[in-house]
Amino acid sequence: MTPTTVETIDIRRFVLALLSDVAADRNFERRFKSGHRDLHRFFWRLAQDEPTKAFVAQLLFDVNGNYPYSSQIDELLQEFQLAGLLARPNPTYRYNDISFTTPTYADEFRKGLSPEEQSDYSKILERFKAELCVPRR
Amino acid sequence: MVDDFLQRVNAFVAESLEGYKPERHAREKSIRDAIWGTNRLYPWEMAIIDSPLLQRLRDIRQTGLAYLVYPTAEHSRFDHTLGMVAVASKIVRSINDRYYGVQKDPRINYKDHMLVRFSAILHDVGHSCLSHVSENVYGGMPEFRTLRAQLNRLFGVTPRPHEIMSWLVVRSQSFKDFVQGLREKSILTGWECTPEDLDAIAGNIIGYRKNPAEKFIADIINGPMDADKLDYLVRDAYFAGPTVVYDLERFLQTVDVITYPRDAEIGDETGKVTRLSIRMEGVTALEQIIISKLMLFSYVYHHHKIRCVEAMCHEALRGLVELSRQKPEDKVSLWLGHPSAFLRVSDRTLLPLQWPLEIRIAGAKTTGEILTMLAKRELYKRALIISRLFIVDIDEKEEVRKGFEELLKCGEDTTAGDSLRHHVFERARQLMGARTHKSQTDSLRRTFDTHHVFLDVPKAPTIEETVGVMVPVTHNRHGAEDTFVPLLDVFPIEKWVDAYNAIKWRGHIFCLDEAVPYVNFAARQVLAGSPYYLRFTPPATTLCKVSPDLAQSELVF
Repeated sequence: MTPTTVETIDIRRFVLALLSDVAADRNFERRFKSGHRDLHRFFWRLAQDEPTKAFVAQLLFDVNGNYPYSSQIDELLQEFQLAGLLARPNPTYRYNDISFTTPTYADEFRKGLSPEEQSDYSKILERFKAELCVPRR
Repeated sequence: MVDDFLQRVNAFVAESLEGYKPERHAREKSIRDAIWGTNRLYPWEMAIIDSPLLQRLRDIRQTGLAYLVYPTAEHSRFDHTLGMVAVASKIVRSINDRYYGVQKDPRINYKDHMLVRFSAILHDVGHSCLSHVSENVYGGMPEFRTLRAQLNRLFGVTPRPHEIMSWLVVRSQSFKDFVQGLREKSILTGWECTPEDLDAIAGNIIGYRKNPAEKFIADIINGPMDADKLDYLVRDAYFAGPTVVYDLERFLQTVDVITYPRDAEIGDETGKVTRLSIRMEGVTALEQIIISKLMLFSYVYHHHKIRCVEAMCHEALRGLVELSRQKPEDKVSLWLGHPSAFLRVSDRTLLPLQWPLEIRIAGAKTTGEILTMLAKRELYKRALIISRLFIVDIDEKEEVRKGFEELLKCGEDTTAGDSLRHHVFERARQLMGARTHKSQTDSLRRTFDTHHVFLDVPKAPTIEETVGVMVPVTHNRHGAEDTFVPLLDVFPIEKWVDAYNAIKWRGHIFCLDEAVPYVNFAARQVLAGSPYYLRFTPPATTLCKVSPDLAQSELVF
């Protein structure tokens, strides 16, 4: 299989793969923090670092406010919410619950990556879990 | 890429202003407005407003083709522009009032006030025919995507396509020369508007300010709670007809300029940014504004018939772009081969009946056909409603949720959308050719093609109004540090948006009136298969006014 080039990494597939991997990890709860600032900052930091920026190459960030913001991330999460893949439970809205368990998103996404990209993806996943996910007690 | 665009836009500006004599128009005027009453405009403002650059906005409807559904929604970008000047001035005066007696100089000085008004006058100058309808077409052209990415790298902002066009107009040399001419002719007096000031105006339009301590000035023009929104919400509602109100007085009493910490990674050495915000006692007024916007989505922007005519027009414009790209400029009467060419098009140049014929002759049959239909208000009809409420087992089965996500993807991904639409079309054509229908569908089958089926998956509203807004919870007006909370913490607007999406959001499949039953059945069949696995409850069909017999009877086919 021809490795995926950086230009072809689809942000939608990438985010779904991250969520799918978190959902499949028994050490973490199936949710991630919904804090706007932390969430956008996470993706913005990916866009700043050389090996990881390819994964978020489709995102444009506004950095004129008090924290980096990409409306594309909001739109994606809104769509996942509309589709029922995510849910924000009342009353606090502090988390996005991941409402799917299928590993297909992550499996399919990984298949399209070169070995180096797979390794970079695994590092991003660990960062995502460490910064935004909740370990299971 | 930026230079190429600037050159092209400069040529347009030069042509527009050629022969225009501003001195004939430059006198103070009081202009009545249905929304904001009588507004005073200064001589230098009138010199710009009366120029062909701004006058063309009279022929660009604010809400695109909404007038085909709400007959009185005929208001133009020009009306909105004047309204925005009035609101922007109100915001400036309210802020200055707040600091009256607290500090010696006004919080926003006279020159910045004038620059804010200039920015308001020019903020929509880059719009093209039918406003956001054309914006979605040229904004998707590859050259424009590259330009947008470049501007993002240069300024760290993510403006919408028409804002970028306005930025190009204001940055063009011809426009700078024109403003220089206003100074030389003593039309612009009492304050200086240098080329650098024009760059700052262009920055305000795209929401950029070089100095973070002045970011609030750009916020008045393009920000979470800008004058643009305050005008268009009330104006669109007023002219379309639905009653949508918000408490502007309360908002103005509580709007403020606030300095708060900024992420070290994106900020300068001060680590601070000064933005337009609202004090805690005005949060309810801001909530009203946001809820009004959601209501307008329901009433107007996402109204199924408006989405339908916009989808038709979008298709026609895409056809014109394709035709223009195949043929040189002098061979196509309405050439749209480059995004900047859209500046030369207004509503009246797009829709007249003589065009469709010429376009057909030039080789874009479908485009001509759609434009003729729009001119006669012969609209496509709904064949299927896509709503979370009408999808069977969406809460129970993961496969269904995954399938719905696949369908939603088609809104953004035109290749996926075109492929789905083609499948539905093919299946519908097969059904028309089935033995039981063959005789009734003879003429329909001869003319029916892919372009007679549209898939419409609108974007859900987002929460841009609250992004990054910090609300002061203390009352320090004398320079002491305020304490802040993020607005999202005291007002989780996501709940409203989520509720809107769950209850109100709808996508559609539209098609030719006579093809509705076939397309309805075909769409349900295609969407029931891989990769969607979606089955719809009866209202998804019956609300389209498809005969229940046809909708329910699989036997018919």
